[in-house]
Amino acid sequence: MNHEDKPSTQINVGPQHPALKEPETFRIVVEGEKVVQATPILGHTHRGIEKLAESRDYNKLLYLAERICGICSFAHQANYAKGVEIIADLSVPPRAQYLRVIVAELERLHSHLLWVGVLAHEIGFDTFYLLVWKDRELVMDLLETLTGNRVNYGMNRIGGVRSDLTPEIRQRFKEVLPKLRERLDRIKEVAINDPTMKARCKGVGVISKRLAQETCVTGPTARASSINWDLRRDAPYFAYEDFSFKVPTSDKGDVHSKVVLRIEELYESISIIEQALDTIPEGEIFAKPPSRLSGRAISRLEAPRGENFHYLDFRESKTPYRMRVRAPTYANLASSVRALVGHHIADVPVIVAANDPCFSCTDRTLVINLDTGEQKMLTKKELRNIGIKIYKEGLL
Amino acid sequence: MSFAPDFLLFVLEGLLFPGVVTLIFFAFLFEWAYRKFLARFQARRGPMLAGPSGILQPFADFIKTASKEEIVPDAAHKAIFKTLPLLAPLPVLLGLFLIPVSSLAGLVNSPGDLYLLIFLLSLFAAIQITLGWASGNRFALIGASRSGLQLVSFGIPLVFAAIIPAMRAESFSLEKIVLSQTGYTGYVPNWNIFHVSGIIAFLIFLICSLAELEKVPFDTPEAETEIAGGWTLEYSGRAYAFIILSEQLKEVFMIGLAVTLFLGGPFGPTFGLPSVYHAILFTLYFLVKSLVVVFLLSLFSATMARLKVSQILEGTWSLLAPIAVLTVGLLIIIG
Amino acid sequence: MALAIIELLKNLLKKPVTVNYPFETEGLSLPSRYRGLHVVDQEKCIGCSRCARECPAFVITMVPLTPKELAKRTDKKKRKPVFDLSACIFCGVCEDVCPVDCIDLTNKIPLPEEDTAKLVVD
Ligand code: SF4
Ligand code: SF4
Repeated sequence: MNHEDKPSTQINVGPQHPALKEPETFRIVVEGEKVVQATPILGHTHRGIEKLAESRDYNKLLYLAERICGICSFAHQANYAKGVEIIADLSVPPRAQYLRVIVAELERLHSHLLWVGVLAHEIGFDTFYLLVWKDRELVMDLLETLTGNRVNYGMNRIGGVRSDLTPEIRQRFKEVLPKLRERLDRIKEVAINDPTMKARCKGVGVISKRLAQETCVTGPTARASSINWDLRRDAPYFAYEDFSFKVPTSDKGDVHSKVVLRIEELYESISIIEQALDTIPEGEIFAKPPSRLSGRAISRLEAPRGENFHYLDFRESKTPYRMRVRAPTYANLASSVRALVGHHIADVPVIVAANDPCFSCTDRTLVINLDTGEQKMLTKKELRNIGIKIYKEGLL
Repeated sequence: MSFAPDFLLFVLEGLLFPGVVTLIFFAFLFEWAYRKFLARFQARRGPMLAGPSGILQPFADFIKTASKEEIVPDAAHKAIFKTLPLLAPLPVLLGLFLIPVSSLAGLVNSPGDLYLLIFLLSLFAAIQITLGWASGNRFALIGASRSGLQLVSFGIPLVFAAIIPAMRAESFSLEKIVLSQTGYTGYVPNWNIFHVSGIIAFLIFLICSLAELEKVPFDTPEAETEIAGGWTLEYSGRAYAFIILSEQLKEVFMIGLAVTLFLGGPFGPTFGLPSVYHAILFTLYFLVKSLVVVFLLSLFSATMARLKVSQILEGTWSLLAPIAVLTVGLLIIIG
Repeated sequence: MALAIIELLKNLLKKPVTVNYPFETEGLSLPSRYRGLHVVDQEKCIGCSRCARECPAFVITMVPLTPKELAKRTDKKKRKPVFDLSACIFCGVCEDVCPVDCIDLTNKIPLPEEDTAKLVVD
């Protein structure tokens, strides 16, 4: 650090800070109002979910997986169920697949609307925040009628879903979705045209395509930096190949383009739900899983915030030998920290919030060598060598 | 012997009506109105439990905060940290005595009221900066420096906007300014706001008051989501309660000033009532006019996001200040 | 911005969205699928303890029946499920797995209690 000629101050944004609703630290070095260095410090909310998972049978694990994240709870649960189904070689009935698509897209709606509100709050635009959340209630009500709860829907079971779509609920959807689209038009207009919104978000926190590739970002963050990648289209799961939808991208990479991109994604989500409601096949909604499992699986899914990754390892038992989760925020964090440098303190919450961070999902592992008490960081090369070794020995 | 009753009356006025007690009551009332308006804009309910429609909420907040534990951080400058917050409402009260509330003149008046008021405005900012600095917190320090920047950037347009009524009244005394706005042209009262230069100056004044009061979009010195409360961050308990009180009194001060300068002060029709009742009538007029200003302020801050310090500097110097100067020019030309 | 101001002014005239919940419940309803307070029909329950086995939060314990209760039973039921709602995650699995459908997660919302012991229901 060669900042001795200028007075620089180190401030800790977090773990307790009004801008971050979850405990995470960003150690920021500022010169006046300018950020010259930023380091994230992870691990405040490590909950040991993966260890706990090794002592639960796969049915009970559904509800633990659901609680990895409060907002994308369906994404985690469905992803976990998908993994188990891959291991069990279980074919899920099409009606259940469609229902999963419907809930997943509803979740994307509620998550993105929540995010728009949070961003508005970060820039001090509380009116917009509250009015967006008012409209989000429409989605929450739909979720509640379909699944029985506003969050932690408990919708999945291994091999299918738990609650079915009745004609009355379909009717309810048909009434609410056009209303939602109307409100979305209004939200989009404010988000794009409001002068103060533009002043605070345009050109802020730009993540170039190169930086995005270097830091391996996923989800809307990647798509806003012209990385055209969406698992729903590029590696379809559930019933996504049955629907036609666009994947909006942008080449600007700033916060404002992420707002616009997310809102455009919501139009697609509504259209997917409408298609699913119209073409949903009749039939069973779940298939019975076997009682013992053996095998490994990697299961990926496009959660609202990006790519959700679950690794499962079952060895002739009902409980997994190992479970590993990587939530999208973990992938996106590095990019936002890099994007912070050069901006003002006022931009810090905006840039951090732009990736829709969810830190409780992120804090997964803490590696300490108990014998020596030593904490070691692996270099990229070492990691790569371990990966090659595992691959060669056919461990994966 | 006639000295004693006069003096007693003055003390009574100073303490009760329209003095300290009334002003504090106004402060709580305006705060409540501001919060209620904001809540209703946002389709919320706002304060609703303490008293009818939650009207006692600011008072309850004050009592609650004041009864909390007071924490003095190690890094703070102890003497300033402990005493200055308790003194913070005093200069604001002094400023409020100058503002005509129940009669055409303030409790205290002099030919140079406006000078004193403008000086007081800088004093408030100085107090804020000192408070922020004394708490020894980095966020507070950033908040204090932002507070200073705002003072620099909004000082000029504010002074120019305030000078326009003074020019129209050809006096710096608030009493004269109010007097110049009595009377009617047709059915329209002679308020400064109904004059071309007056309305522009009024808008500029409103924007600057938002900045003075640290409300969105100019709440950078306190910006909760950026610097966690800024210069007020370390204060708790009684000290914080007094800081809040001084902020709320400042709200009355800025709003009262706007009413005095542009909306004809407390003056209004007296319906030929005997002059004993005038005080009550005038206070009512003052309240109504003030609430209109509160409404405008809350509407303004409801439609905006918080701006960045650099944007504020740019906006004031390239937009607000030139417009303010041009308005003064306009007034000189068209008279 | 002008549009925004108009919308805000309209909000001023409309009723607030927030419902003053415990005091007024107008327009509030829970869908029939809502998973709220448990109601267990102990008469119908056959004491198979499937619910206790499947509960992901280990909320349900099977408690032996008292001699008095035992005397009333004509079947082989020896134990009954007791729910400690302070640990319940309201997932509804118990409702799903019960072979005789004697557990019902109603639309009632469990009220907060100071004492967790009060949340034990059977
Ligand atoms: S609702 Fe779920 S957590 Fe609660 S008792 Fe039933 S199975 Fe257990
Ligand atoms: S599953 Fe049903 S019948 Fe069996 S113990 Fe539980 S409540 Fe009783």
